[in-house]
Amino acid sequence: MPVMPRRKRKQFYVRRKVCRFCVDQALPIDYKDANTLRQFVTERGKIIPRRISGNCARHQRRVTRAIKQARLMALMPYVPTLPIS
Amino acid sequence: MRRYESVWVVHGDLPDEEAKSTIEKFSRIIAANGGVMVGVDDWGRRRLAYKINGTARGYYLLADFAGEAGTVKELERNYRIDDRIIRYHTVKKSDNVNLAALEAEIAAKVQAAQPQPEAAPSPEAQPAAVAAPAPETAAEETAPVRAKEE
Repeated sequence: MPVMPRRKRKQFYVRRKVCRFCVDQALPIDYKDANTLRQFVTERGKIIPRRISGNCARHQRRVTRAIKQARLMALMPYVPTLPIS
Repeated sequence: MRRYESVWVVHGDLPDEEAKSTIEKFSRIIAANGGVMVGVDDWGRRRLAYKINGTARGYYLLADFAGEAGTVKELERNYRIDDRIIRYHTVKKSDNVNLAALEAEIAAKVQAAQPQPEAAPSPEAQPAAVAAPAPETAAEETAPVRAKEE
């Protein structure tokens, strides 16, 4: 659910997020394509929630599944090794 | 028959030839258990996202085939027996495979594969290699769509 813009104090610009897999039906969700899936995880390797990624429920389920499959095959990390800052 | 896709990873400490020799082994297992091989995709040696059995590298291979539940069961049983295999994953691509369409696809793939070794020694080898996988992916993409329409 989008947050409704408040009238009084702060003016929020709520841009409706659209599921990018719905916009481009040809875009495949595939566990073998780790580079595309990498857009849906944080740098800590966590799966980005739907409310942030903007995916629809159906495609988010598929993305989640694909990420988990990719992790199992060591194509994506469960816990990435981050550079020591 | 159903269409499956199976990826397996060979331990990275083994030589490439040994990794490639598993193609023949598992192809035979698929064929012996009522399966039809469509093709093998060699991803080559890749870096793993995390260490498995002490290595950070693995040789990835993908088999595209049609078969029954028993085919997959036997294939996965053999993956587990083979110590060289560190990971495997099998995914069903579609139910109900049209055998005639499948054979046409295999024939097309064989034809596409044939000019490649001829072109390999020439400097055109690279463009040929780039061009070859394109029709394969196109064929793969159309297959599940067709299944959905049915």
